[in-house]
Amino acid sequence: MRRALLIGVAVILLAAAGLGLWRAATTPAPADAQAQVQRVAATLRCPTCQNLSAADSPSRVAASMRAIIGEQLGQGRTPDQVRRFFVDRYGEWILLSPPTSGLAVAVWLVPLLAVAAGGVGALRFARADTRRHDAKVDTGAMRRAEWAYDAFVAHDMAAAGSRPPGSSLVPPGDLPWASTPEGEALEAALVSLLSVRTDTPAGQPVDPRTDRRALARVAVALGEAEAAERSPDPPLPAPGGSRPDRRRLSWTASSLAFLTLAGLLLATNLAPRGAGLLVSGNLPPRTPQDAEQAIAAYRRELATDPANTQVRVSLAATLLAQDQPREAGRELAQVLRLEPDNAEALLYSGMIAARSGNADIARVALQRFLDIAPDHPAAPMARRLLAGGQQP
Amino acid sequence: MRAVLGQLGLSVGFAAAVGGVAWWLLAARGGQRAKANARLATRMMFTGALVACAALVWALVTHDFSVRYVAENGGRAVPLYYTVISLWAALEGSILLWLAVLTGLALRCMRTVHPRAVGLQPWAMATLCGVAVFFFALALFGANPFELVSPVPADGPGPNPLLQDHPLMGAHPPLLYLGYVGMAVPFAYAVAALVTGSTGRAWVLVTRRWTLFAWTCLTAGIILGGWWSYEVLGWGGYWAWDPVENASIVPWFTATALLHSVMVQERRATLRVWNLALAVATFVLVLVGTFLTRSGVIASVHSFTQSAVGPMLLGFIAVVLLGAGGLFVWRADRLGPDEGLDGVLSREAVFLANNVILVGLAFTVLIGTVFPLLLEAVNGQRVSVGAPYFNRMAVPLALVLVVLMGVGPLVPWNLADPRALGRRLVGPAGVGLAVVAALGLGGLRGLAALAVFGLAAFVLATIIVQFAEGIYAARASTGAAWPRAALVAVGRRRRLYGGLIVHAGVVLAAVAIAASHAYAYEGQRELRVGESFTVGPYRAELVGVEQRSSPRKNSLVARVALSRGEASYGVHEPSLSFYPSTTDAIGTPSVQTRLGEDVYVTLPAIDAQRGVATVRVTVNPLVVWLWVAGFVMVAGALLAGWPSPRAPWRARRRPVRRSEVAPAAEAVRQ
Repeated sequence: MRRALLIGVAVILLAAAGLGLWRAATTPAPADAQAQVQRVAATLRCPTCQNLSAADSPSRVAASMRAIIGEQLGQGRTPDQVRRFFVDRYGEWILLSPPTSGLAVAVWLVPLLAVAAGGVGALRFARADTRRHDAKVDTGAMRRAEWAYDAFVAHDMAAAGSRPPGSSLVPPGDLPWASTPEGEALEAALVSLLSVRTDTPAGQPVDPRTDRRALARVAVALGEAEAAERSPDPPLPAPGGSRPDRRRLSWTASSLAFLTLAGLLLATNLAPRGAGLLVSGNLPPRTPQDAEQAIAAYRRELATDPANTQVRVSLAATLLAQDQPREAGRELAQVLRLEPDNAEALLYSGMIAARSGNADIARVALQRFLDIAPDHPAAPMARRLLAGGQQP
Repeated sequence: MRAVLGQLGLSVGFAAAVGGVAWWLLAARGGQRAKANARLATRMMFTGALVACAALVWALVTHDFSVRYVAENGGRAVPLYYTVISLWAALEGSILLWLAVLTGLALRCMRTVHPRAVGLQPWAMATLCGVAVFFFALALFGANPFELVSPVPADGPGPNPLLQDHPLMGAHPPLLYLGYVGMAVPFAYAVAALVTGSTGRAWVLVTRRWTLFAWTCLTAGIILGGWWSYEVLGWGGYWAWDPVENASIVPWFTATALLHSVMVQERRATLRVWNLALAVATFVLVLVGTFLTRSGVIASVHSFTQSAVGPMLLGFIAVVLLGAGGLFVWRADRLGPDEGLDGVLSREAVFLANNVILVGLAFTVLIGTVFPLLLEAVNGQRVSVGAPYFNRMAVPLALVLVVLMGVGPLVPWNLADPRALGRRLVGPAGVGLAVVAALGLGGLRGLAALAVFGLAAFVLATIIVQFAEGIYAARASTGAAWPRAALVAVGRRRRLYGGLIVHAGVVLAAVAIAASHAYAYEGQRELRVGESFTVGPYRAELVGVEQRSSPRKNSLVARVALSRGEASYGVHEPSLSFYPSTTDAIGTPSVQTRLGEDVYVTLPAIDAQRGVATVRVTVNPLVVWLWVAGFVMVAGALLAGWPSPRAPWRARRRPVRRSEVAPAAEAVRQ
């Protein structure tokens, strides 16, 4: 009767909870336009911020992105179409969720596979050792195991952790128990029995089968420890192919493989990205004197080789860093006359134009820079400038 | 003068650390004189680091702008408190803080020797000194704060504006560093265990409380970091999956895994390699996190600098990995075979599952953080890995973890009887289902949030059941009144109940995160003075617009009166501040914290001349409980880890009478 009642309650609870979950899953989120915009914006990165979504960022760019999203959603486009619009302008980089195609899919799959593999490994390990369950242990051994346990508890209480003097089981040295594998196994078995007997839910009886099993483990470990003590010199391992050697070999191989892989990845990653002039990396000379010297050196070189656009761009960059935009602009104009598609010259021209308030010229120059060198290290900064952000 | 003093401190510390490594190695081989020297070197190392810190603080406080660090991070207008904590406002100073913490921990590690660690300790100390050698070298040769500048500037820009606006900045970085650096101690003992070949229970026992200490500091540091981000950064959240945040949570995951898995090794001769590897991995992840955030590899809010520190850190990580790998290879004969478990339904197996999930979380977050770098290195493709990815990947794993938190403590060691376990789980499961049913049918939306609430109710019920059982049993055995029985019960098994309290804190945090994530809403409007608008039940009225100037900053402040129905919540003053050192405005939110929900007022834009301000009001449910959860977690950890009068190293002071032990030894011999 009572059982039937319990089952009834359980069924009702399960049904109610299932119904509750179903209802929570099907209740639509508030459909007002602003919430929808926020949901789409939360999947897009704010291009001028560091690690904030367009929904969270207070910046001007994010605000304009939200406005664009609202406009496009208002025209009936789907969230995916809106996202595509931003991807076309900024690349996949604008999506906060990495793509599921190409090599990028690894970021989704690798953790899943790792967790699955870990789970399988743990499961196999947890059910690996069944032999001790039914270890046949005679009563005498069990009784001696009980004695050992009592002694262990007394010892544990009397002097937590210190070495029981005179115990022959405990080898000399600073580590009282665990300096031999057998001693360690015995101690572990004793602690395990201790936790079975004391670490049960308060007020509940100890499960006799569990207790017996733990006691049997102590008995087995005690027997092994005594056997090891009687023959202090273990038999030498058979020459060749012994277990430690195999383990050593596999450890070495896997460590080497891992380190090679990590080293390769890091080496390629740390190699300078984009040679030559970096807006961020090409540090201007520290003091004005250095800058003057550098400018003089560049001018000397240009006097002999006026067509060297590389040097002329460097000169312009130094001039720009020294806050002489007009001179820099003149040099850049020369470069662009020779090489209309010189990316860096376009970039610096755009920066100068943006700084002096020539928004239209800046837009043309920067857009051309981005078309020519979309992967240039300064490209994000150029995009920022294009989007109306602040100049660094 | 101050620069010379600081330089001196660093040099002495460096030399002492090098000497410390050598002498501790000699001491490990039994040299008594070497041991005395080693102890002296360790003290000198600590003194050197302290002197360096003190010299830098002195230079900061006295505005000695001839010191580069002060010229870059000091300022005459900065208040004294923020001047002092500018010690960790930038990379060079924070390395000094790191050194002070590391050498302080080494000193503590030298003073308290677990009786079972006498053989391990010199090796561990040598390892700690080795780590200190590297960080002293980093401070001396990589990022030296005591470089001189010439000509001496008259004033400095002050620390990063974001760091001089909230008093929490005084607590969050030191706690985080205590947590980070504290992980060096388990690492050092793991190395010692590998070197000596005693990979059994001893190092586990010795490091348990060290790990717990570091874990507690790391937890507090992470929660305070979230709080700071919430109160200062003004985007309305506390966790953005920013690389800096990820760098702190990844070692937290592995340290949590280690805290659980060592309990298995305490009871079984098993998981040797796993625990050693977790201890090493946690420290390596600390270093990797430092590398990611301090080298400027990934730019983010916190990576305020770039320098030569990156390659040095990378080299050190390689040395640690190679060294540890070599030790594992060398000691392969002492690392196995592991004893298996008794069955899948046991506490040990639950801990294994917990480890799989926690390490999986660490791995996922690490991969997500470095993936853009890796992918760009491999094929030049540029992608972002942001909050949507981390939420989708981490939330399911975290939910499994919550389930394990409820089930685990009820599963007995060795092997559980499924029926008995089922009987104990039925009640709490019923509570969880009832909560899901009530909330779901009550109209709460969102599957994930509802699942979290149901699981949280389930876990809390299991925790309450365990406390009740313990108190009931204590009352039965002592006959004391309820409050006293509760104290007795908790005092008897502080590790268990401390752990359960930590679990309760984690569950509380999960509820707060789920609620604030799923049910936040907001509104934004451009207001003239006198106008108002409503967001949900709240009404925000723009009362005034002000400009406040100080030598340190110019602030534009909107005065917003907040009310709900008849109840007034006072006038809030979100602001936009302009510092001399930055071009962009720094927004500061104003938060009305309430038990049910926070009202978070920010100021996206303001025009003081026209008296117009754009006011954004966000309602964040239950956020305050996240900070409460942090306190609960720390309290639980303190309860579990507080030294008891019976702690081994205290027991050592009391001579153990032979008569006490002899019968025990006799019995063991039989």
